[in-house]
Amino acid sequence: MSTDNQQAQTALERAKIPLPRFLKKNHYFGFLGILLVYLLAGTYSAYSLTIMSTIIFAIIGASLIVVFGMAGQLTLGHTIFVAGGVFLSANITMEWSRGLETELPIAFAAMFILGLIVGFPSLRVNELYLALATFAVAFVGVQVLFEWEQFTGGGSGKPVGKLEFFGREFSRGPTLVRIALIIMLFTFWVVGNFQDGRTGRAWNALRTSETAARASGLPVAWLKILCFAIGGGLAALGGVLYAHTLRFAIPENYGVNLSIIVVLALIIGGKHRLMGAVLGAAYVKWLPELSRDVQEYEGLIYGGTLIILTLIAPDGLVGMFEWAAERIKSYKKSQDGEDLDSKIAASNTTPLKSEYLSSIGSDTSRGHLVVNNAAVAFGGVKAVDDVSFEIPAGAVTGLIGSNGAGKTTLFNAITGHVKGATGEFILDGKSVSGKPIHIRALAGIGRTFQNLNLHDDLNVLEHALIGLDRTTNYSRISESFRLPWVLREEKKAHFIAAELLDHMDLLEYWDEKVEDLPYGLQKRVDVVRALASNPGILLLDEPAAGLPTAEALEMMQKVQEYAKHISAGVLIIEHNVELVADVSERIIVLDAGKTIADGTPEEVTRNEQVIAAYLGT
Amino acid sequence: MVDYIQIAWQGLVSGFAYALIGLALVMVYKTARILNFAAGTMAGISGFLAHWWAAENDMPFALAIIFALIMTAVGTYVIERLTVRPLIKLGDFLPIVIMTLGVEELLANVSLLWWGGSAQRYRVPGDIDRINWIIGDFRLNAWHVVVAGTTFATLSIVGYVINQTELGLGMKAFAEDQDAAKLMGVKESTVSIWTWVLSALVGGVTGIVYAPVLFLQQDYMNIIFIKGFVAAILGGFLSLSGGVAGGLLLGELEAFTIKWAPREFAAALPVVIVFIVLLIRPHGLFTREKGHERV
Repeated sequence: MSTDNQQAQTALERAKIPLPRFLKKNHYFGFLGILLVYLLAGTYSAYSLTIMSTIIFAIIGASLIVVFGMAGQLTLGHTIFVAGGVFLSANITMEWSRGLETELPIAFAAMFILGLIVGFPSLRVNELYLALATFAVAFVGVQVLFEWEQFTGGGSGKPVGKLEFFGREFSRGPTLVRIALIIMLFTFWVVGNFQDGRTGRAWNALRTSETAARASGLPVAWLKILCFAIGGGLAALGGVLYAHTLRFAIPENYGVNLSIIVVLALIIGGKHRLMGAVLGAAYVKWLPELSRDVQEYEGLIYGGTLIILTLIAPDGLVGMFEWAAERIKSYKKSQDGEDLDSKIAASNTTPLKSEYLSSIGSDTSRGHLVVNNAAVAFGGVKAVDDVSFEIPAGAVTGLIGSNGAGKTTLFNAITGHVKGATGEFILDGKSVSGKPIHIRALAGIGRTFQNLNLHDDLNVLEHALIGLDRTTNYSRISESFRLPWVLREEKKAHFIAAELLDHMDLLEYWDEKVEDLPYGLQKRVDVVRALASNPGILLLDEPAAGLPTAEALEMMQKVQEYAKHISAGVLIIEHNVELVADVSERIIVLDAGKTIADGTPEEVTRNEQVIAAYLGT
Repeated sequence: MVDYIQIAWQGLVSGFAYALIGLALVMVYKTARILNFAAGTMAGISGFLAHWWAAENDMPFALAIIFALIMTAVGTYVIERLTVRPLIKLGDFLPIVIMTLGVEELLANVSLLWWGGSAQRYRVPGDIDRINWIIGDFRLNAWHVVVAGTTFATLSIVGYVINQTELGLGMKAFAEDQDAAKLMGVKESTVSIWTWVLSALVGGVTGIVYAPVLFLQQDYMNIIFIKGFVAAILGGFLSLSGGVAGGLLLGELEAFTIKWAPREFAAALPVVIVFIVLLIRPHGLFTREKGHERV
């Protein structure tokens, strides 16, 4: 191992960023809990039905975490996947006389495919519509089940066959509980792995800001569809268990009510954690066991709980526990007199030299951008009017102009964030005109946002990792099983992220949520995310707005340094002309959508037209 | 030929319900950008209340309806203030949607506990819902005529409120641009609450006038709610008249599908429509596409 690499390790170590590991503390607790219930199965036969339905609800909850908790797609049609599992199970056991070895894979595969279809509206509508569209799916789904007698037996339902596995028959009761626990373990393992991996990160990113997720090169459309497919497939496993628990499949059990209850349960438990799925399931399944009175007022209590929790604890029961734990921790710390803001010592070695960091970027300069006849019109207003220019590779170029001159719109036209832009955009010889945002991003266009499009809820390190998504090399299938190379790639990404944060002086804030940071730091996080994506050309939209000049200058120097390291070009919108003139080799001036000047800083600042239009006298 | 007219009339009668609920949903969505999942259940409770005042408290038919509508208005006022209002400051719509889901769960169970799960007949004076006039081969139910009349009256009143009153002006201002409206001194909380109340009243009228058609049952308005939503999607969700037109169109489509298509397909029609509209014209059939979003 080289010394450079050791220095990179120290960046991680200095900040005490935990490396991704195969098993975490949570895993041990989870295994222990499941093992306990597994060993005790058989001693609680009076409650085995409640235990079974708790496990099934926990599985369904975990599958909802994928769709709703991570990807943020509020779905009220989740039970059609459960129903799919139930009726496939009934049909496979009765018509084909096959056992779980056929039921589980077929249920998963079929509902995965159905998920691809159900997920489709999520591409076209906002989340509000989606909630209603999926609600309609649930509502109509149960009616279709009623009418589709061949498959479901219509209103009278269909019996479920024997519980078998490769021809070996099992008695129900404790054995079914054990089988359910194994399936739950599998589901939680898969969902947990997604939470730790790049797909989960990408889902979190698109939940918190879709626009920014696209700009980071994430395939948002595919990710959205995928969350429904994976969520649907996993929910179907719960459905198969449901079928064997009830031994009879009746369409009316899988209507809108069940759809709402599973969502309520997850929200009550906490939608971002697997523990939330367990707590929510336990809440809705064990509360009615307490007494008959509770049973009668069941729905009332769930509705009331949800209303109260939404008002006081949006992250559910788990959120409340975590909040309490946090309070106790910080109280203890303040008792111990530990300095909360202990700064992480700055590195005294030159950064940007590590083995990992040199693995990204390239030796040849990139960022050769050609813009031909770019135009954007909003109604009758031409925001960008026939703008053409060419930026050589590796150059730092400024873009100035008064408010409304069309600078940001020009950026949006280059990145694809504005619809109906015409003209040709060629980056390093490849045309990106007309391509979707994330394809342009992957082609090498990185950007920051004027109004800070950060992912609230996520911490600084995660922002860097989201940018690094494209350099993290493992498939989603290996991610779901936490295969060794997943961890290797994750470690690499963490190293690079830590070092990039170190370079941008953000290391000490790595685990802060971005919405808690001061404005200046948020601006830097935005830049870090763009830099991490290893762009060929970086479009910075007023990166220094609102910052003191000294701080702005320092940041710009750091950005330039890093851009040079990865051989990228920079195009920067900035109102502070002195700052632009200081860092850029060339300045383009826009006025009312047209280029009015293009040249070295000296030429531009002396240009009369520019002075009249923008600089003033 | 008479056959077609009969089907078209049936479609129109269901279409009125979808149109009214669609209108109620669009109203709240347009001004406050909120979807109220409890809208169907709230409308159903209005129907139950009218029935309860008339049948169990021996109140005259018309007075019972007025009482039911007053209770609906007051109830909506309280619900909006207690549950939705505290969340509006967060500026995030998801908690609000979840909140209305919680309200829906709560209200559905309240009405179940109060009235039980069995279906009840909502009696109207003279049992005119059982009177059918036969004109040639065309059957015309007397109550359906009342339904049509009520729909037109409700639409006219809503039209008047929106076009002629200060509340309507405020609603339009909010629909156009929330921030600008606030800056111009339109009081958000006032406009929001009266929009909710107006929407709940439209829903309440629908719930009452359709109670004799559908029978009072715990969730009898849910199906109308879903189809009202489909109507709103057809209309683009941002246009009041689009929602109404969408409702009437859906009613007709449905009536003719039931006539000619297999039952499975007729059941799936609303979802098919939602998917097709979202695929081809996500902004609805009757509105033009909105401009770009600012990044």
